[in-house]
Amino acid sequence: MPTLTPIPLNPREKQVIGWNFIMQQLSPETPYGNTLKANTGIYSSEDRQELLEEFENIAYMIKSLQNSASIHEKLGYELIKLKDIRPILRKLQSNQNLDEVDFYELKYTLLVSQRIIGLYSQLDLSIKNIQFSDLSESLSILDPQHTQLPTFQYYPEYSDRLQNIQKEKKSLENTMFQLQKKKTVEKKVKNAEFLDELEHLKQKRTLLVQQEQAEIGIIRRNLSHQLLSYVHNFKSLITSLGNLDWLLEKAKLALQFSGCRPDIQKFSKKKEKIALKLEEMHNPYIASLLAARNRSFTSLSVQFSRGVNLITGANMGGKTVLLYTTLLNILLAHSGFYVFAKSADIPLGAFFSSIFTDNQDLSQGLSSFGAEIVMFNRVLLDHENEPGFLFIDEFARGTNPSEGRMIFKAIVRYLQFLPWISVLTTHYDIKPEPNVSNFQVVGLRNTDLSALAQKLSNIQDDPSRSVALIQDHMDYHIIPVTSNTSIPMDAINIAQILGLKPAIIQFAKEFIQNDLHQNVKE
Amino acid sequence: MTTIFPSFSEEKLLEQILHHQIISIIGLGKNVGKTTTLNYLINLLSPNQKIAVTSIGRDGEKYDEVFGTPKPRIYINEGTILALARNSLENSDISIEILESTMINTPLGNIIIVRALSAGYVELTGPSTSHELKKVFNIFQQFGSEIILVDGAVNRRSFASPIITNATILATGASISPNFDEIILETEFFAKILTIPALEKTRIKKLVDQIPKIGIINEDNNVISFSVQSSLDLPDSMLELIDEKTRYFIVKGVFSNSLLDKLFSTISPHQPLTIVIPDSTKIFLDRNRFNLLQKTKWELKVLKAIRLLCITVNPTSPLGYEFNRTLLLQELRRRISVPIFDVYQGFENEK
Repeated sequence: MPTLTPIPLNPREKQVIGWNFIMQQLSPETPYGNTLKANTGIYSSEDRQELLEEFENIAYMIKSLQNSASIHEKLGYELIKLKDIRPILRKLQSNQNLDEVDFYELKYTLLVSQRIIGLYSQLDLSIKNIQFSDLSESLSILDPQHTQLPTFQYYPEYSDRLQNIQKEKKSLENTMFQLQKKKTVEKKVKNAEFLDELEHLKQKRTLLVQQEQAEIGIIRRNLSHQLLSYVHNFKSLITSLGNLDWLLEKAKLALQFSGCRPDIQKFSKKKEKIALKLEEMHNPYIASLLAARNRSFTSLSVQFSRGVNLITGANMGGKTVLLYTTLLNILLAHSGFYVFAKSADIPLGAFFSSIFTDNQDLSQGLSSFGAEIVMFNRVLLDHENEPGFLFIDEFARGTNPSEGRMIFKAIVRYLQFLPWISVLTTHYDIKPEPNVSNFQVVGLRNTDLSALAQKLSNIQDDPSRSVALIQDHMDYHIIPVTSNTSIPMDAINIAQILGLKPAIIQFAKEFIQNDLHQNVKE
Repeated sequence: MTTIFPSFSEEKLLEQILHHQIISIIGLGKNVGKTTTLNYLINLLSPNQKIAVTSIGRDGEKYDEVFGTPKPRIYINEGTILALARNSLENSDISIEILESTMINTPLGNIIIVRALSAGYVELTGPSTSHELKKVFNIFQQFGSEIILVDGAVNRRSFASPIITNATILATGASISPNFDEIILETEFFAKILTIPALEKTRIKKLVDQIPKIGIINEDNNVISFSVQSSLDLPDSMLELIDEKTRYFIVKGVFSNSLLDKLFSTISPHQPLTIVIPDSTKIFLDRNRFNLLQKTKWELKVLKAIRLLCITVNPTSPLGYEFNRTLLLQELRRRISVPIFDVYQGFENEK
């Protein structure tokens, strides 16, 4: 069993990147599958082999779901019947005697499991962590008459003595019944006599009930003792049932949202090498939010290198969505799930850090900048020399822009020397550096701005529709920035098409030109 | 003594039980002989009848928890199917076969369905909601039960609801009050509520169907629905729509004292008016108001009637006082037109 560590996200991050949404889609049928779901976590790089096996298993299961739908339907119907026998196993192991309800639950579980095993064998799968053994030996303890019926009683086979006591009790009850009948129907007995006789019979019956209980106590002890030697088998049974249930859920998830099997690499020691590649990835959570507003998710492709990867682009350009979607898919791959992309090359990292300050947070300004610094320090302190992933959204956005830009530049410079894949989005334009890969959101670069401006002028009075229209024209893909990539000036473009006075636009353009010249001189 | 119900006999009662199949027994108070009534019914049925028994909430305790008086446990026959809480198995002395362990939880463990392999005493503790009770009925029927008896807990009259059980038996007795008249009046009040007749006119029923919560129907069959969340908060502005042409007032929810007071202050008691409610369990009126209502020209009708099969009477109170059995029965029978008998004595033994 691999050791899994908890998902390194706070509750808010789990929500916004779509992790919670994915978990909500998974609903295992059994208590055992649900335990595995609750323990979902990151595989360590030592467990790479297990992780690869898990993807192999999901691949088998997907094929099986596609090829043997009718068997899977029956299988699901049986899995849903399974109840939690772990408390019963704990009782057995602590040498407590089971009672008739426990025996019933155990027998019921074994009978259902037998049917599951039968159906599973028809699927003809060979999955290492799903191994079933024959249950008939343990079942025969609880089903001595081999009826295969899901009911339980203290069978005559358990004890001749019990059988005799119960016979005697029954005949006594019959006598009592006859006596009652004589009294009420035939009216042949006097009241006092009747009561005396009834009391006498009741006392006799009480004695028999006591004997019956004592004998049942002995049977309970015997059966519990016999079952104790099968606890190991029962445990491996429920482990396999849980694995089967959970694997089915993972496979169904992959089918539901068109997931792909990621190619898991070792973390590259070489700088600049393309280390993380996700082709046409998507985010089911954000897609569901967009679908509710009749919009669709633009699938995105990224190729990030070891070192620093910078993404620039105007607001509304989907930089944050790109970051969330990349992080979501990396975490899914590290936790043994298919990823939501057409193809994925993902190196196995030792840590995943994200610095997302909440832009809806009211306590903006210095405090959010302060929080970023504290978080960044924490990451450095914990992971400076480990291979891993760092995601930062709009670092230092909340502080004085000129200082903020310099601090950001400094951080970018420092991160180049760490064995990490760092992905940072920013407003600040940073001159290309040798160990930094620069990307830009395409944005409105390829849009016919005058046509868009024309459309906008028709709906001028409705700002929300204007924003929606711009979003429709926004190209969310990212492209690598080379020395001759033109500056996108999307902010100016947006201001222009939203009707900012031309004179002001003109000033802004001039300022930008001057600024560029200065930068070159620097 | 002459019986007022010449047509009634144990045979007739048995016939009714076999016809209605799901029967609840509700008590007007503690120690009114509800458990004795249940035992009486079990004895009345043939031992070959496939009977299932359960209760609502905890009941049939060995000792009455309030007065500490000995209380009969339920004696059931071999073959009876029971639904009872897991911890109650220990307090029962029958030999059992476990048929199913349900997911229905109670403070005394989950509800277990068992078959009695012998006769004996059981502590009956069933599910606590009507929804769970319905689930239990389903399981009983899967195991072939033909007659289902539900021991209703005290003051849980909603479980006599015709939506859940098909017919009801009411248990009353001396323990309700040390005052003879009070027992008579309370039992009469309750019996009247349980026997409110059903609305028969299909034409009106169709109009009633159009009303989501509260509304009125006028003499020209004009339907007006009031948009309210609950029957408890009817605004005065809506009451103004009620006038001398109003013939039906429909409440699909609780019919409370305050609602009746509002009607009293809006419509003349001499105006013919039919008040329609879903079933008798929705009536939350005190006795005075109910009696006042009886004196008006208004009448109460339910959409689904409860079938009150009979009333059983226990003339003895566990506190030590006792009433004259004959007087008590006589007075109740004079006022209530439902078969009434002393379950300890049996109906047939009276003659």
